[in-house]
Amino acid sequence: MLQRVLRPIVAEFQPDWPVLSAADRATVREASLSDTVRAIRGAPPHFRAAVTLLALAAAAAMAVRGTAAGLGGPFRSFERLVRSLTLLSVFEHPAVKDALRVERGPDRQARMRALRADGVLR
Amino acid sequence: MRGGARPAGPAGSGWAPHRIGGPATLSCDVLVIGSGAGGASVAATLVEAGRDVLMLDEGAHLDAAHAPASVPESFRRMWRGSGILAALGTPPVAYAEGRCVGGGTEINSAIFQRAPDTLLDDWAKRYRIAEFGAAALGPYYDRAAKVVNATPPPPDAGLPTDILRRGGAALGWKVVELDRGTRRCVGTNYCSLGCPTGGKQSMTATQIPDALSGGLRLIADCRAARLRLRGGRVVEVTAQARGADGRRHRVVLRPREVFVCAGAIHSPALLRRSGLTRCVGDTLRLHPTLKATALFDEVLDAHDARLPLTAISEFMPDRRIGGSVTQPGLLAMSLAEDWAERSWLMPEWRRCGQYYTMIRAAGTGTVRPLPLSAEPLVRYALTESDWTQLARGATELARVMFAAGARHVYPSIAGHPGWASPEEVLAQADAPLPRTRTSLMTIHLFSSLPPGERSDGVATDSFGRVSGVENLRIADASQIPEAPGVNPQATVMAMAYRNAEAFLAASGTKTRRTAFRERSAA
Ligand SMILES: Cc1cc2nc3c(=O)[nH]c(=O)nc-3n(C[C@H](O)[C@H](O)[C@H](O)COP(=O)(O)OP(=O)(O)OC[C@H]3O[C@@H](n4cnc5c(N)ncnc54)[C@H](O)[C@@H]3O)c2cc1C
Repeated sequence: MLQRVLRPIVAEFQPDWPVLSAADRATVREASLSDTVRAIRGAPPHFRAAVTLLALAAAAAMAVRGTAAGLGGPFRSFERLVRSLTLLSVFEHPAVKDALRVERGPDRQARMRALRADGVLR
Repeated sequence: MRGGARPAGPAGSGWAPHRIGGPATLSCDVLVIGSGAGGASVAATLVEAGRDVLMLDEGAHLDAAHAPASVPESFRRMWRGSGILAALGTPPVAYAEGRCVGGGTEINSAIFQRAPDTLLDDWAKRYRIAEFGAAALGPYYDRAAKVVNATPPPPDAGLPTDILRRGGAALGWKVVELDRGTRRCVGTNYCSLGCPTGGKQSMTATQIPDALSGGLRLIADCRAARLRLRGGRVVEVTAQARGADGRRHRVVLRPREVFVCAGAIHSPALLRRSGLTRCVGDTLRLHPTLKATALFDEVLDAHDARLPLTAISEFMPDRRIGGSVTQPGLLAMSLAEDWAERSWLMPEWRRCGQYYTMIRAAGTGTVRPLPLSAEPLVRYALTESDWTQLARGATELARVMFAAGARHVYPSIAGHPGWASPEEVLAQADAPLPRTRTSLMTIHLFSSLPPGERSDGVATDSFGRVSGVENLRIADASQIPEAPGVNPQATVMAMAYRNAEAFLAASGTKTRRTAFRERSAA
């Protein structure tokens, strides 16, 4: 349910930059939806309940206003949370890291483990 | 191990915690609940003294070879509540804790700082804590420093570190170099994801493997739910463990002695859930922290450098200015505050750094368990003087950023237009912050079970023994009497060694203060 409700909101919160191919954009969007939902599911139950209720209300408002941004009041914290989880996931996605020329996580880990094994200190 | 616990199989570090095979009843001499900075220090001390110790942690064990490779994965696997935690109040204060074997030490930056001598001496007096103060804690701090190999940063720590040096020098403000607990650190800058190389000297790299080789039994994925008390003693601890089969099993523990080391939030929550309420979870303290994003002309590439390893100490212990890890994802999270106005900084991410002002607040909070939930309700309120400190801190932070060459500085205040020059900062110097739009966070929590011999406001005696319960002791951040104004892990470890040695002395195992020994270099 949470996934369904958050889908349009997470889609709205996708950043315009960096510019990705349509295929990458779709992959990144799906991954950020999944990451955001999983993070909220891992939150303490009292937060989860509040976020779920606010998500339902924000989705309803979005259907009318066309946007989930700028709703104000308790929605400010909700917007900040969902937007920050979405953005974190987007900018941690391998396709976006490639676009930014940032080493992917597993590659960096492997390179650093090798450096340490070789006794190279930075 | 009796009662259905068995080794979990190979892991990259050469050791692994035990996993429960089914419902189990386990007995031990000493049960340690929580394996973070406090719990691991207690376990190491007691095992060294030859005691039979069983340690539980609610979280899983991830060794360096299996460290998460992204922030969202780390949040899910190592951070409590997927990183979504907040103390409620105006404004709410977002906080973070580790939930894994090794606790907060697995996701922290390993910065090692001793609490100022004057504060330690003042606490000893005001809380009437016996054998406390700078001189008494000194040897325990020394031991903690040896265990984690606390060492100064390398001279070439990188531009994010130089920014603070530069800004401090330009303003004539004192700057300190921050020691860190590392051994052959290669500067991956993934400290908060779980160190992938083993360079960070967290508890799973130091005291836990040492204690395991000395006979410690460790069960991961096992959450202590309640202590059962009879006749002024803990007689049983009930827990829920995830077994090797992936299912949840009930575990009953029958210890002779119990150390609760579940951290500043979960230790008081567990005590309250067990019916112990006197001065429990009423005095939570923390370091409210206001972040800022600064844009520079030069490329910092902070994602590829070490996190800033200097701090402006001019205003310590009341306020400290330091730096945070900056990676594109974490930067985007900060800008989410006011995305419409600040997203233009994202394409400039290589020229951005994230810095903060952290205050030694006087405000307090509460921890209360909630029915049917493992996570308690945490509340926190800042005092008027805290707001004054934060306003000053915001001004100082912006000033030092401009002095170091920043072009724009955006504090984590929604709707704030940011500062474009030092003149703008001075024109608004120390202006009150908008309380509902200011985003505060903390990674330092303490003081929810303070020690001492006072008749009011303390939860334990001078050495962590819970009032009215003969065999129950505390050894974690909840024991630090008040906010120390510095990174707390060293103080948590020092106080935990002291409480463990006091217990050993009281139980006739060994005289207090004799356990200060060098850990043989790994
Ligand atoms: C992101 C981050 C960065 C930090 N950076 C620094 C730094 O650079 N330097 C510094 O000095 N400090 C730092 N800190 C703070 C420092 O890590 C903590 O102060 C310290 O770890 C606290 O030790 P503790 O033993 O009280 O609790 P923790 O280390 O949090 O350990 C408590 C353990 O208890 C377990 N637990 C909780 N409840 C239960 C239960 N019911 N049953 C079983 N187990 C349970 C938890 O899973 C956890 O592993 C940082 C913290 C964070 C979150």
